[in-house]
Amino acid sequence: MTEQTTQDLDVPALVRQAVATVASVSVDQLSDDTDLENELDVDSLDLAEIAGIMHGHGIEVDKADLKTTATVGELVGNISESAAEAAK
Amino acid sequence: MPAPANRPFRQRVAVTGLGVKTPAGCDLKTFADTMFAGTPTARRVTEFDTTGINSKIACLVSDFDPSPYASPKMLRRMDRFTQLGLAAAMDAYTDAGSPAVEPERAGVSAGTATGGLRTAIANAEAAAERGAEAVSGLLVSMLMPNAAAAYISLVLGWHGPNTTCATTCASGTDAINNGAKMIRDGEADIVLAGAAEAAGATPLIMAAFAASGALSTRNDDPATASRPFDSGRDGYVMGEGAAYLLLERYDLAVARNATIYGEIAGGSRSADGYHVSAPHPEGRGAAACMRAAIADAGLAPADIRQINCHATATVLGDVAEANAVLTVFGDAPPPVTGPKGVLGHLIGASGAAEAVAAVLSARQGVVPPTAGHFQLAADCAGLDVVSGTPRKVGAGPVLSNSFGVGGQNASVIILPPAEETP
Repeated sequence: MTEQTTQDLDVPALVRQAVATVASVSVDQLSDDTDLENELDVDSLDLAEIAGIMHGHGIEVDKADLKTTATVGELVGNISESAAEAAK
Repeated sequence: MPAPANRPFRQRVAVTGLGVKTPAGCDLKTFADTMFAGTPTARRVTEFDTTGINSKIACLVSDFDPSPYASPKMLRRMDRFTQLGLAAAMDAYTDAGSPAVEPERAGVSAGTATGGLRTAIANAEAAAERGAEAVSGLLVSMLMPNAAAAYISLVLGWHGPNTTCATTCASGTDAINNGAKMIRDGEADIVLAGAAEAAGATPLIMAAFAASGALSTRNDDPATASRPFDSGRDGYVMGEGAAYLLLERYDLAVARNATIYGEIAGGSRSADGYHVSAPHPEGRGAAACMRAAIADAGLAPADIRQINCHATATVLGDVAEANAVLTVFGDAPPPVTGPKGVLGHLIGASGAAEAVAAVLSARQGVVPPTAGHFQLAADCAGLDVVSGTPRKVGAGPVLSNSFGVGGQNASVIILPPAEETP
């Protein structure tokens, strides 16, 4: 098996899919403005699970960083940044 | 309304709602029809690979749909045992007419033997494959035995006493007794009492029980595999499910014109203190438990109209219970039924599901037939086992037994609704 680098991944799509999974909604229902806490009821357990899903894709995320994100767009940005940092 | 003469100070406990998610049905009518027809529910397991397990049959809840009971997100955070337990509890509450409650006076008394072990197994497999990082942060809240009770309280907003007991196969009956005590002792006015089990019917636990020789290997004839008190019995059939009873302070149930199914008149628990898995051969702890429960209800053995036996259909268990019944009731015990002929063994939930059947039996005055019972075993001689068709005995007190691996015994006395109008 060849090593897959994080540069090959569509990180925003993976993050949206992870959010949809933990919130039990369809990806189509998410926009960048969707509020994680108020619209999706995402809590710290969900953020931990999102971090776990990202880990499964080889992307390490600091859970503490995620707690400051309010929207899906911010979360995508935050995790994409982590992935880009790691790929450097 | 007068209290029993020997217990003047305690509250009486009415049963006003019933909810079931069992192999015999996920609604009360189907459950009652299946139990009173004595239709066995065991079948070949197709849900997982039983290679290497000598018992390849089980009683499963195939038609359970959890979606009406919680949001998809909430359901995702629940082990199957919690989904089954929450759904059965909500059905019992709805069946009772969704009464308004004072949240601080509304309690939950739950039981389970293995809790969210299914989720634990899945996480252990993930960790073995992909490392510790694959373990979900949700695991603890899904694995914990008190998860079902937690979700019942948070969905209903009930803030009264909330406990979960784990006495393996006695858990369901213990949970009902514990719930009745919350009301009797003045701690709560309304209690959802019941139990749920979902990890028995997994490859791991089936393999464990099979290795101990507890399970029936009558794989080619599942319908007659569970044979309570029968000469051909060879162990139990694994099951899963949940059942809940809504218990209310009797006078408050009457005051709100609730439909009263019956009354929890008393109960008891004891320990064999003999062996970690085998019952005392003479059923000494079981006999003490039955006697104490009957006395707690202010009754004498002669008052008991029928017995809803634990009767797992193991060689050791059935003879111990038969001995205990004969010890308590003498040469002419009341007729008995073994609901596991229909249901299989729901482990921690068995006592709760069987109590639902006992509530209906007490009120209808009918003993449901014991499926899988064809010929009384010689070592159970003296018992009057109802089989084939239901038997009319008249409405009256039912004794329901549950005995756990570990030697824990639990008995509950269920009465039909009182005839007097207060």
